[in-house]
Amino acid sequence: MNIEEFIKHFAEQFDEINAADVLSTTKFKELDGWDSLVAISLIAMVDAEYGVKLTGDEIRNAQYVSELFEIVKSKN
Amino acid sequence: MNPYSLEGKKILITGASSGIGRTIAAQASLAGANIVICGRNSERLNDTFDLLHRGDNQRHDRAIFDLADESATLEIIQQFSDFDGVVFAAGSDLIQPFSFTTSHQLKTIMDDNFTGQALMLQKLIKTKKINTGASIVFFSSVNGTSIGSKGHSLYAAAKGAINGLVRVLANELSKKKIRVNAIAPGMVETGLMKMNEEVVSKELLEAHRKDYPLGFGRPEDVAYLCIYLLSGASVWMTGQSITIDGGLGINR
Repeated sequence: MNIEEFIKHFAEQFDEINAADVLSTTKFKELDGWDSLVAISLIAMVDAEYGVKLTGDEIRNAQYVSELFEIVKSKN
Repeated sequence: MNPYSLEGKKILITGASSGIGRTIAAQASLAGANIVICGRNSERLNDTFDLLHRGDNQRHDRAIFDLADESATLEIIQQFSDFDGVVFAAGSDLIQPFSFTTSHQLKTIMDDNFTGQALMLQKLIKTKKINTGASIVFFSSVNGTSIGSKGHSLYAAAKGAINGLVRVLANELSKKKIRVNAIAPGMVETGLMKMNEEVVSKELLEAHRKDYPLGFGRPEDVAYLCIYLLSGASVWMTGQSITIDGGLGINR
């Protein structure tokens, strides 16, 4: 898996965010539209695309998109 | 005689290997009932069996099978008869936005929370295993009754189906004075809640707890309502989905 692809899937969980607006250094909780539903969408997406179980606590403890990517990659 | 007593009543309880079902089994045995517990997990079902109160003349039984397996259900039913109460406490949840739903998930959640129970009850009625004056108790939820929690669409849909079934069966079975009701609880501290905690994070769940004036429920808080519904004290109650939610619904 690579970060570009991960960011593309990540951005799809938002209604009004394009992959181009998201960088690995983006603080994802500051993105417009971030809420609990996007968080569970993210969990469902990671499960469907990468077969990885991401937990609510892992999302809560992460700040940057790159951190999410690293967690998923390490479990992949 | 104490109107809340279950003495001499034979009660079938599904989903008795954990959570609310296990607590209902224990409380109903304390109230004097003869219990038949069902569940999928033999080890945990046996733990429940050991919890049951055994007074003079009380006799309990157990059956291990999956409600989603229709032929297994039919086979088990044939071994029992004369029920004065049936409690459907089996269930499962899935936390996911509706847009990710697959047909397999839809089927699984509906089977676990609605179809398996509906078909089991259908067979119990058809084979005349339920006594006149019996009480049937389903589990609905505030979710699918009065609220719609994000991420729980399939669970809420199944609970909505339960609410509809309860209305019609209460009418159809009234001829035999059989009552049919559903309990619609708010968040209760069980294994299912632990699953919520893992997915949505402990922090969010703690924030949600503040929406409950009396806090989250304990399994026994819900079990006591179930005992009332199984007892003669509730002979005039039928066709209802009764909310029990620690005040969640009035906290707006």
